[in-house]
Amino acid sequence: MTWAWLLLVAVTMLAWWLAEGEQKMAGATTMAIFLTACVKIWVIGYQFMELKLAPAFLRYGFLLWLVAITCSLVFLITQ
Amino acid sequence: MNEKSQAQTRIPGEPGIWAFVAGDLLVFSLFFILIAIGNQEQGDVFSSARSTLDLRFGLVNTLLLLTGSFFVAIGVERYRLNDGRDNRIWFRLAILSGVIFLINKLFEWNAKVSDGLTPMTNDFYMYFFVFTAIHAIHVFVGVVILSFLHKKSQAPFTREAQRGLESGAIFWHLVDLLWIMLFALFYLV
Repeated sequence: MTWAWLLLVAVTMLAWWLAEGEQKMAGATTMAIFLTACVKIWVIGYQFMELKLAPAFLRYGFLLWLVAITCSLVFLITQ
Repeated sequence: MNEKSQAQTRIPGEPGIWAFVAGDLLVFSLFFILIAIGNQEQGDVFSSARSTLDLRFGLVNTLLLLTGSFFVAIGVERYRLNDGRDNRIWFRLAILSGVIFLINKLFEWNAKVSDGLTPMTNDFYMYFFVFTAIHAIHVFVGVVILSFLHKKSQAPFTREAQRGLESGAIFWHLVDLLWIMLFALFYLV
């Protein structure tokens, strides 16, 4: 559990550092920011919401939503 | 999957909470898409409006919710251990993180309004106030639920109480993950 929290904090600080950078709106930075959000949401779902224990339809349903919304947002923001 | 892992597979919490999670994720997905479309259509307006937000408020609130989720997850895990220890401290700490989040959010809104930035200023600030307010209502409801979990975590262990505790915790984690995407869209990109 502690590793999950440490990872979440570390990834949050990484996203903050990326956002503070000079190339703020560059496509790669935007993708990296959404990738960090995606990783954090997956860790919360898998570890804290205990999807790791859940049947496959629930676990993969959540993952499908996460990938779909992340890709949609990256596409819209970087266009 | 072998027999052992099949036996260990279960739906955390009550199945109904997952229907609620799915519905809320779809509603917030619409909010996220609206913000992204606004960003696409009014890039300059969104970019300059975003630069007037104080990233520190968003960062502190993100860390508060992540840490609150961590405390709730520990509280649920300790309850399941059923070792007679008092687990209420974890729920108290999570409630505290939620309350500080709300106070921080009120300070942030107040600072923006004092600077003349309101929902009427532009689409960015309309989305910002409306969607963060809807999220703040979730946080408030989450704090109320955590107060019930705080009480429940002292009850003798039963499967039913365990499912109730897990369901409340899942709602709190949902509040956390919704904020993560709002934080990225409003403060980071």
